[in-house]
Amino acid sequence: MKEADAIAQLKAGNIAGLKVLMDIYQVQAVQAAFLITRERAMAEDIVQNAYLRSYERIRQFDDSRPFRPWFLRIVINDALKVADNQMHNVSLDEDEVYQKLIDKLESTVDEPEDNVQRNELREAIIEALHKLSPRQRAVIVQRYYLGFSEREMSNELDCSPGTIKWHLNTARKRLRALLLPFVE
Amino acid sequence: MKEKNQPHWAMLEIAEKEAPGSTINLWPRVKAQVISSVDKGSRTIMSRRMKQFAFGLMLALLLIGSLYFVPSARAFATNIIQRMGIAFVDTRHYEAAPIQAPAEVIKVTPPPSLSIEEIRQRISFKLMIPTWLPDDLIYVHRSIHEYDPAEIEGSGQKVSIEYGRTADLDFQRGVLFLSVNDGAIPAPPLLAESREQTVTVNGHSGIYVYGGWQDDGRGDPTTKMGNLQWDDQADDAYLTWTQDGVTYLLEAHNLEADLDVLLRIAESMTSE
Repeated sequence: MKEADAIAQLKAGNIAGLKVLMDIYQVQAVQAAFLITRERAMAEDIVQNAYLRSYERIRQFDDSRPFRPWFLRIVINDALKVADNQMHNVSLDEDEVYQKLIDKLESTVDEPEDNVQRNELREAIIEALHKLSPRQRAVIVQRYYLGFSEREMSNELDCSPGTIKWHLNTARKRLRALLLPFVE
Repeated sequence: MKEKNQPHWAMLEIAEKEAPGSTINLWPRVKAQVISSVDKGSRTIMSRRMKQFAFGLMLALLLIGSLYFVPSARAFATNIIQRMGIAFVDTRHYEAAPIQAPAEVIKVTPPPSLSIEEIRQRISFKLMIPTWLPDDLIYVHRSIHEYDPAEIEGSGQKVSIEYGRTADLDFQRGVLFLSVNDGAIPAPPLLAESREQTVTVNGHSGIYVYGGWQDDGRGDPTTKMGNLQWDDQADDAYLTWTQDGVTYLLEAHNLEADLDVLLRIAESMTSE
Protein backbone atom coordinates (compact mmCIF):
# COMPACT_ATOMS: atom_id res chain seq x y z
CA MET A 1 0.00 0.00 0.00
CA LYS A 2 1.27 3.42 -0.90
CA GLU A 3 1.66 6.22 1.59
CA ALA A 4 -1.17 8.20 -0.02
CA ASP A 5 -3.52 5.21 0.21
CA ALA A 6 -2.56 4.69 3.84
CA ILE A 7 -3.36 8.32 4.62
CA ALA A 8 -6.70 8.04 2.82
CA GLN A 9 -7.52 4.93 4.85
CA LEU A 10 -6.54 6.67 8.04
CA LYS A 11 -8.70 9.65 7.21
CA ALA A 12 -11.57 7.22 6.69
CA GLY A 13 -10.98 5.88 10.22
CA ASN A 14 -9.22 2.67 9.23
CA ILE A 15 -6.22 2.12 11.51
CA ALA A 16 -4.67 -0.25 8.95
CA GLY A 17 -3.45 2.93 7.29
CA LEU A 18 -1.70 3.87 10.51
CA LYS A 19 0.19 0.57 10.55
CA VAL A 20 1.50 1.22 7.04
CA LEU A 21 2.76 4.64 8.06
CA MET A 22 4.39 3.19 11.14
CA ASP A 23 6.13 0.50 9.12
CA ILE A 24 7.59 3.24 6.95
CA TYR A 25 8.63 5.83 9.53
CA GLN A 26 8.76 4.39 13.04
CA VAL A 27 12.45 3.38 12.99
CA GLN A 28 13.58 6.72 11.64
CA ALA A 29 11.35 8.55 14.10
CA VAL A 30 12.49 6.60 17.15
CA GLN A 31 16.14 6.93 16.23
CA ALA A 32 15.78 10.67 15.61
CA ALA A 33 14.02 11.12 18.94
CA PHE A 34 16.69 9.03 20.62
CA LEU A 35 19.49 11.15 19.16
CA ILE A 36 17.83 14.23 20.63
CA THR A 37 16.72 12.85 24.00
CA ARG A 38 19.47 10.21 24.41
CA GLU A 39 16.91 7.89 26.04
CA ARG A 40 15.53 4.95 24.12
CA ALA A 41 12.37 4.46 26.20
CA MET A 42 11.65 8.18 26.09
CA ALA A 43 12.15 8.18 22.32
CA GLU A 44 9.68 5.34 21.87
CA ASP A 45 7.11 7.09 24.05
CA ILE A 46 7.54 10.25 21.99
CA VAL A 47 7.04 8.43 18.70
CA GLN A 48 4.11 6.45 20.02
CA ASN A 49 2.49 9.67 21.14
CA ALA A 50 3.29 11.29 17.78
CA TYR A 51 1.52 8.50 15.91
CA LEU A 52 -1.50 8.82 18.16
CA ARG A 53 -1.59 12.56 17.58
CA SER A 54 -1.24 12.00 13.85
CA TYR A 55 -4.17 9.61 14.01
CA GLU A 56 -6.25 12.21 15.84
CA ARG A 57 -5.23 15.10 13.57
CA ILE A 58 -5.01 13.28 10.27
CA ARG A 59 -8.06 15.16 8.94
CA GLN A 60 -6.09 18.38 9.28
CA PHE A 61 -3.27 16.98 7.18
CA ASP A 62 -2.98 18.50 3.70
CA ASP A 63 -2.82 15.65 1.19
CA SER A 64 -0.84 17.81 -1.23
CA ARG A 65 2.13 17.87 1.17
CA PRO A 66 4.45 14.96 2.03
CA PHE A 67 3.62 13.11 5.22
CA ARG A 68 7.22 12.51 6.32
CA PRO A 69 8.22 16.08 7.29
CA TRP A 70 4.78 16.74 8.81
CA PHE A 71 5.03 13.68 11.01
CA LEU A 72 8.71 14.03 11.90
CA ARG A 73 8.12 17.64 12.89
CA ILE A 74 5.78 16.36 15.58
CA VAL A 75 8.44 13.91 16.74
CA ILE A 76 11.25 16.49 16.74
CA ASN A 77 9.19 19.09 18.59
CA ASP A 78 8.12 16.59 21.24
CA ALA A 79 11.68 15.36 21.60
CA LEU A 80 12.84 18.95 22.02
CA LYS A 81 10.29 19.55 24.77
CA VAL A 82 11.47 16.47 26.62
CA ALA A 83 15.12 17.26 26.09
CA ASP A 84 14.66 20.84 27.26
CA ASN A 85 13.92 19.40 30.68
CA GLN A 86 17.34 17.76 30.64
CA MET A 87 19.16 21.03 30.07
CA HIS A 88 21.11 20.68 33.32
CA ASN A 89 23.35 18.15 31.62
CA VAL A 90 24.31 20.46 28.81
CA SER A 91 27.93 21.48 28.57
CA LEU A 92 28.82 25.14 29.09
CA ASP A 93 30.82 25.11 25.88
CA GLU A 94 27.98 23.73 23.83
CA ASP A 95 28.35 26.26 21.01
CA GLU A 96 31.92 25.24 20.48
CA VAL A 97 31.01 21.59 20.59
CA TYR A 98 28.22 22.26 18.16
CA GLN A 99 30.49 23.98 15.69
CA LYS A 100 33.11 21.28 15.84
CA LEU A 101 30.56 18.53 15.37
CA ILE A 102 29.09 20.15 12.30
CA ASP A 103 32.48 20.75 10.80
CA LYS A 104 33.37 17.16 11.37
CA LEU A 105 30.20 15.89 9.82
CA GLU A 106 30.63 18.20 6.83
CA SER A 107 34.20 17.07 6.32
CA THR A 108 33.50 13.34 6.57
CA VAL A 109 30.76 12.87 4.04
CA ASP A 110 32.70 10.01 2.54
CA GLU A 111 32.88 6.97 4.80
CA PRO A 112 36.46 6.12 5.88
CA GLU A 113 37.81 2.76 4.90
CA ASP A 114 39.63 2.33 8.18
CA ASN A 115 37.35 0.77 10.84
CA VAL A 116 39.37 2.23 13.66
CA GLN A 117 39.11 5.70 12.29
CA ARG A 118 35.43 5.06 11.65
CA ASN A 119 34.78 3.96 15.24
CA GLU A 120 36.75 6.81 16.71
CA LEU A 121 34.88 9.33 14.62
CA ARG A 122 31.53 7.83 15.61
CA GLU A 123 32.40 7.93 19.31
CA ALA A 124 33.56 11.53 18.98
CA ILE A 125 30.29 12.51 17.35
CA ILE A 126 28.32 10.77 20.08
CA GLU A 127 30.28 12.57 22.73
CA ALA A 128 29.81 15.89 20.99
CA LEU A 129 26.09 15.27 20.62
CA HIS A 130 25.83 14.71 24.34
CA LYS A 131 27.35 18.10 25.00
CA LEU A 132 24.93 20.04 22.79
CA SER A 133 21.73 21.77 23.74
CA PRO A 134 18.52 20.02 22.64
CA ARG A 135 17.87 22.56 19.88
CA GLN A 136 21.38 22.15 18.53
CA ARG A 137 21.03 18.40 18.63
CA ALA A 138 17.71 18.73 16.84
CA VAL A 139 19.40 20.73 14.09
CA ILE A 140 22.18 18.14 13.73
CA VAL A 141 19.72 15.25 13.75
CA GLN A 142 17.49 16.81 11.13
CA ARG A 143 20.31 17.90 8.90
CA TYR A 144 22.68 14.92 9.14
CA TYR A 145 20.47 12.03 10.26
CA LEU A 146 17.12 12.78 8.61
CA GLY A 147 18.79 14.54 5.67
CA PHE A 148 16.51 17.55 5.72
CA SER A 149 17.47 20.52 3.59
CA GLU A 150 17.94 23.87 5.29
CA ARG A 151 14.56 24.99 3.95
CA GLU A 152 12.84 21.90 5.33
CA MET A 153 14.53 22.39 8.66
CA SER A 154 13.44 25.99 8.86
CA ASN A 155 9.89 24.90 8.13
CA GLU A 156 9.91 22.07 10.61
CA LEU A 157 11.71 24.00 13.36
CA ASP A 158 9.50 27.00 12.66
CA CYS A 159 12.41 29.39 12.16
CA SER A 160 13.89 31.14 9.16
CA PRO A 161 16.48 29.53 6.85
CA GLY A 162 18.85 32.29 7.95
CA THR A 163 18.61 31.12 11.53
CA ILE A 164 19.38 27.57 10.47
CA LYS A 165 22.36 28.79 8.43
CA TRP A 166 23.55 30.76 11.40
CA HIS A 167 23.25 27.69 13.62
CA LEU A 168 25.15 25.58 11.13
CA ASN A 169 27.84 28.13 10.28
CA THR A 170 28.48 29.09 13.87
CA ALA A 171 28.52 25.52 14.89
CA ARG A 172 30.80 24.60 12.02
CA LYS A 173 33.51 27.00 13.23
CA ARG A 174 33.34 26.07 16.87
CA LEU A 175 33.09 22.35 16.37
CA ARG A 176 36.22 22.29 14.31
CA ALA A 177 38.30 22.93 17.40
CA LEU A 178 36.62 20.20 19.42
CA LEU A 179 37.06 17.58 16.76
CA LEU A 180 40.42 18.83 15.57
CA PRO A 181 42.31 15.64 16.52
CA PHE A 182 40.03 13.57 14.32
CA VAL A 183 40.02 15.99 11.40
CA GLU A 184 43.73 16.43 11.17
CA MET B 1 30.75 13.12 -3.42
CA LYS B 2 27.50 12.32 -1.77
CA GLU B 3 24.59 14.71 -2.02
CA LYS B 4 24.44 17.19 0.80
CA ASN B 5 20.87 16.20 1.77
CA GLN B 6 21.73 12.55 2.25
CA PRO B 7 21.92 11.34 5.87
CA HIS B 8 25.41 11.19 7.21
CA TRP B 9 26.77 7.66 7.46
CA ALA B 10 28.11 8.29 10.94
CA MET B 11 24.73 9.53 12.22
CA LEU B 12 23.03 6.49 10.72
CA GLU B 13 25.51 4.22 12.39
CA ILE B 14 25.13 5.95 15.74
CA ALA B 15 21.37 5.76 15.57
CA GLU B 16 21.41 2.13 14.49
CA LYS B 17 23.89 1.20 17.20
CA GLU B 18 22.04 2.96 20.02
CA ALA B 19 18.52 2.12 18.86
CA PRO B 20 18.59 -0.74 16.37
CA GLY B 21 15.75 -0.57 13.85
CA SER B 22 15.14 -4.31 14.17
CA THR B 23 14.15 -3.82 17.80
CA ILE B 24 11.71 -1.03 17.15
CA ASN B 25 8.05 -2.08 16.82
CA LEU B 26 5.58 0.29 18.35
CA TRP B 27 2.53 -0.96 16.45
CA PRO B 28 1.11 -3.22 19.21
CA ARG B 29 1.28 -0.36 21.71
CA VAL B 30 -0.15 2.21 19.33
CA LYS B 31 -2.88 -0.11 18.12
CA ALA B 32 -3.97 -0.91 21.67
CA GLN B 33 -4.02 2.76 22.55
CA VAL B 34 -5.94 3.72 19.39
CA ILE B 35 -8.61 1.10 20.04
CA SER B 36 -8.78 2.15 23.65
CA SER B 37 -9.12 5.81 22.68
CA VAL B 38 -11.86 4.97 20.17
CA ASP B 39 -13.82 3.09 22.82
CA LYS B 40 -13.16 5.82 25.32
CA GLY B 41 -14.17 8.41 22.74
CA SER B 42 -17.41 6.58 22.05
CA ARG B 43 -18.12 6.34 25.73
CA THR B 44 -17.22 9.97 26.17
CA ILE B 45 -19.52 11.00 23.35
CA MET B 46 -22.33 8.89 24.76
CA SER B 47 -21.68 10.24 28.20
CA ARG B 48 -21.61 13.78 26.87
CA ARG B 49 -24.83 13.27 24.97
CA MET B 50 -26.48 11.78 28.03
CA LYS B 51 -25.35 14.76 30.06
CA GLN B 52 -26.61 17.15 27.40
CA PHE B 53 -29.93 15.33 27.26
CA ALA B 54 -30.26 15.36 31.02
CA PHE B 55 -29.38 19.02 31.12
CA GLY B 56 -31.88 19.82 28.38
CA LEU B 57 -34.55 17.81 30.18
CA MET B 58 -33.90 19.61 33.44
CA LEU B 59 -34.01 22.94 31.66
CA ALA B 60 -37.29 22.04 29.98
CA LEU B 61 -38.79 20.89 33.29
CA LEU B 62 -37.61 24.07 34.96
CA LEU B 63 -39.15 26.13 32.20
CA ILE B 64 -42.41 24.23 32.34
CA GLY B 65 -42.39 24.52 36.11
CA SER B 66 -41.90 28.24 35.93
CA LEU B 67 -44.67 28.52 33.37
CA TYR B 68 -46.97 26.51 35.60
CA PHE B 69 -46.26 28.20 38.88
CA VAL B 70 -45.89 31.80 37.70
CA PRO B 71 -49.44 32.94 36.99
CA SER B 72 -48.51 35.58 34.43
CA ALA B 73 -46.20 33.20 32.57
CA ARG B 74 -48.80 30.46 32.67
CA ALA B 75 -51.45 32.82 31.36
CA PHE B 76 -49.11 33.97 28.59
CA ALA B 77 -48.24 30.39 27.63
CA THR B 78 -51.87 29.36 27.68
CA ASN B 79 -52.74 32.28 25.48
CA ILE B 80 -49.99 31.40 22.99
CA ILE B 81 -50.96 27.74 22.96
CA GLN B 82 -54.61 28.55 22.42
CA ARG B 83 -53.77 31.03 19.67
CA MET B 84 -51.69 28.44 17.90
CA GLY B 85 -54.54 25.99 18.15
CA ILE B 86 -52.46 23.41 19.90
CA ALA B 87 -54.65 20.86 21.60
CA PHE B 88 -53.11 21.33 25.00
CA VAL B 89 -56.07 23.22 26.27
CA ASP B 90 -57.44 21.81 29.43
CA THR B 91 -60.75 20.32 28.40
CA ARG B 92 -61.35 18.41 31.59
CA HIS B 93 -63.94 20.80 32.81
CA TYR B 94 -65.82 20.32 29.58
CA GLU B 95 -65.46 16.56 29.53
CA ALA B 96 -66.15 16.06 33.18
CA ALA B 97 -69.17 18.27 33.15
CA PRO B 98 -72.35 16.27 33.47
CA ILE B 99 -74.58 16.21 30.49
CA GLN B 100 -76.84 19.11 30.86
CA ALA B 101 -80.42 18.32 31.31
CA PRO B 102 -82.68 19.79 28.70
CA ALA B 103 -83.26 23.40 29.49
CA GLU B 104 -86.41 23.97 31.31
CA VAL B 105 -88.81 25.78 29.10
CA ILE B 106 -90.11 28.76 30.91
CA LYS B 107 -93.31 29.79 29.38
CA VAL B 108 -93.83 33.46 29.58
CA THR B 109 -97.39 34.34 29.56
CA PRO B 110 -97.83 36.84 26.79
CA PRO B 111 -99.64 40.01 27.57
CA PRO B 112 -103.33 39.84 26.95
CA SER B 113 -104.28 40.15 23.33
CA LEU B 114 -105.52 43.56 22.40
CA SER B 115 -108.50 44.30 20.32
CA ILE B 116 -108.17 46.14 17.05
CA GLU B 117 -109.84 49.11 18.58
CA GLU B 118 -107.43 49.22 21.51
CA ILE B 119 -104.52 49.08 19.17
CA ARG B 120 -105.76 51.80 16.90
CA GLN B 121 -106.30 54.00 19.90
CA ARG B 122 -102.68 53.58 20.99
CA ILE B 123 -100.86 53.94 17.72
CA SER B 124 -100.19 57.05 15.74
CA PHE B 125 -100.33 55.56 12.26
CA LYS B 126 -102.99 54.05 10.09
CA LEU B 127 -103.23 50.28 10.65
CA MET B 128 -104.54 47.94 8.00
CA ILE B 129 -105.50 44.40 8.91
CA PRO B 130 -106.43 41.48 6.67
CA THR B 131 -110.02 40.69 6.14
CA TRP B 132 -109.26 37.34 4.56
CA LEU B 133 -107.23 34.55 6.07
CA PRO B 134 -106.93 30.83 5.46
CA ASP B 135 -109.87 29.13 7.13
CA ASP B 136 -107.89 27.06 9.61
CA LEU B 137 -106.23 30.00 11.37
CA ILE B 138 -108.47 29.96 14.39
CA TYR B 139 -106.30 31.77 16.90
CA VAL B 140 -105.17 35.39 16.92
CA HIS B 141 -103.06 37.43 19.30
CA ARG B 142 -102.40 41.12 18.91
CA SER B 143 -99.85 43.26 20.69
CA ILE B 144 -97.99 46.56 20.43
CA HIS B 145 -94.21 47.01 20.78
CA GLU B 146 -92.65 50.34 21.35
CA TYR B 147 -89.14 51.09 20.03
CA ASP B 148 -87.13 54.15 20.79
CA PRO B 149 -88.15 56.58 18.07
CA ALA B 150 -84.77 58.25 18.36
CA GLU B 151 -83.11 55.11 17.05
CA ILE B 152 -85.42 54.04 14.27
CA GLU B 153 -87.45 55.63 11.57
CA GLY B 154 -91.02 56.59 12.41
CA SER B 155 -92.73 56.54 15.75
CA GLY B 156 -91.07 53.30 16.84
CA GLN B 157 -94.44 51.66 17.21
CA LYS B 158 -94.91 48.12 15.94
CA VAL B 159 -98.04 46.07 15.87
CA SER B 160 -97.68 42.28 15.93
CA ILE B 161 -100.60 40.08 15.04
CA GLU B 162 -100.04 36.33 15.30
CA TYR B 163 -102.41 33.82 13.82
CA GLY B 164 -102.23 30.12 14.52
CA ARG B 165 -103.91 26.85 13.87
CA THR B 166 -103.77 26.14 17.59
CA ALA B 167 -104.25 28.31 20.62
CA ASP B 168 -100.66 27.82 21.75
CA LEU B 169 -99.33 29.10 18.43
CA ASP B 170 -97.60 25.83 17.63
CA PHE B 171 -95.04 26.79 15.02
CA GLN B 172 -94.90 23.33 13.52
CA ARG B 173 -98.65 23.20 12.96
CA GLY B 174 -98.75 26.49 11.11
CA VAL B 175 -98.60 30.13 12.01
CA LEU B 176 -98.95 33.44 10.26
CA PHE B 177 -97.21 36.51 11.63
CA LEU B 178 -98.09 40.04 10.59
CA SER B 179 -95.75 42.83 11.61
CA VAL B 180 -96.78 46.40 10.95
CA ASN B 181 -94.09 48.98 11.60
CA ASP B 182 -94.37 52.72 11.52
CA GLY B 183 -91.40 53.19 9.26
CA ALA B 184 -88.83 50.56 8.39
CA ILE B 185 -88.65 47.24 10.20
CA PRO B 186 -85.98 47.60 12.89
CA ALA B 187 -84.82 44.00 12.59
CA PRO B 188 -86.01 42.48 9.32
CA PRO B 189 -85.61 38.72 8.86
CA LEU B 190 -82.39 37.66 7.19
CA LEU B 191 -83.38 36.04 3.93
CA ALA B 192 -81.54 34.75 0.87
CA GLU B 193 -81.19 37.71 -1.44
CA SER B 194 -80.84 35.38 -4.42
CA ARG B 195 -84.37 34.11 -3.78
CA GLU B 196 -86.02 37.53 -3.56
CA GLN B 197 -88.81 38.18 -6.03
CA THR B 198 -90.05 41.70 -6.63
CA VAL B 199 -93.79 41.78 -6.62
CA THR B 200 -96.54 44.38 -6.56
CA VAL B 201 -98.67 44.52 -3.45
CA ASN B 202 -101.64 46.84 -3.40
CA GLY B 203 -99.95 48.94 -6.10
CA HIS B 204 -96.69 49.12 -4.16
CA SER B 205 -93.42 47.38 -4.79
CA GLY B 206 -92.80 44.48 -2.49
CA ILE B 207 -90.51 41.49 -2.00
CA TYR B 208 -91.52 37.87 -1.81
CA VAL B 209 -89.27 35.03 -0.68
CA TYR B 210 -90.10 31.37 -0.35
CA GLY B 211 -87.94 28.96 1.62
CA GLY B 212 -85.90 29.21 4.77
CA TRP B 213 -82.73 28.43 6.61
CA GLN B 214 -82.22 24.89 7.83
CA ASP B 215 -79.71 23.59 10.34
CA ASP B 216 -77.42 20.98 8.76
CA GLY B 217 -77.62 18.98 11.97
CA ARG B 218 -73.89 19.03 12.58
CA GLY B 219 -74.07 21.22 15.61
CA ASP B 220 -74.32 20.22 19.21
CA PRO B 221 -77.93 20.38 20.28
CA THR B 222 -76.86 21.34 23.80
CA THR B 223 -74.39 24.08 22.87
CA LYS B 224 -74.59 25.42 19.35
CA MET B 225 -76.38 25.24 16.07
CA GLY B 226 -74.98 23.60 13.02
CA ASN B 227 -74.34 25.46 9.82
CA LEU B 228 -77.38 27.07 8.31
CA GLN B 229 -78.17 26.26 4.72
CA TRP B 230 -80.94 27.75 2.62
CA ASP B 231 -83.68 25.30 1.84
CA ASP B 232 -85.96 26.15 -1.08
CA GLN B 233 -88.36 23.45 0.05
CA ALA B 234 -88.83 24.79 3.55
CA ASP B 235 -92.46 25.73 4.15
CA ASP B 236 -91.74 29.36 4.87
CA ALA B 237 -92.99 32.33 2.89
CA TYR B 238 -92.31 36.03 3.37
CA LEU B 239 -93.95 39.04 1.81
CA THR B 240 -93.03 42.61 2.72
CA TRP B 241 -93.97 45.97 1.32
CA THR B 242 -94.23 49.57 2.40
CA GLN B 243 -97.45 51.49 2.08
CA ASP B 244 -98.09 55.08 3.29
CA GLY B 245 -94.89 55.05 5.33
CA VAL B 246 -95.86 51.86 7.08
CA THR B 247 -93.92 48.65 6.48
CA TYR B 248 -95.79 45.37 6.46
CA LEU B 249 -94.26 41.93 6.81
CA LEU B 250 -96.24 38.74 6.41
CA GLU B 251 -94.56 35.47 7.48
CA ALA B 252 -96.23 32.14 6.88
CA HIS B 253 -94.66 29.08 8.46
CA ASN B 254 -95.83 25.55 7.81
CA LEU B 255 -99.03 26.88 6.24
CA GLU B 256 -98.27 25.77 2.70
CA ALA B 257 -98.88 29.38 1.76
CA ASP B 258 -97.38 30.57 -1.49
CA LEU B 259 -97.25 33.97 -3.15
CA ASP B 260 -100.88 33.80 -4.20
CA VAL B 261 -102.02 33.16 -0.65
CA LEU B 262 -99.89 35.92 0.81
CA LEU B 263 -100.96 38.36 -1.90
CA ARG B 264 -104.56 37.53 -1.26
CA ILE B 265 -104.09 38.22 2.44
CA ALA B 266 -102.25 41.45 1.68
CA GLU B 267 -104.84 42.65 -0.80
CA SER B 268 -107.58 41.98 1.70
CA MET B 269 -106.10 44.35 4.18
CA THR B 270 -108.06 47.41 5.08
CA SER B 271 -107.94 50.16 7.64
CA GLU B 272 -111.65 50.05 8.22
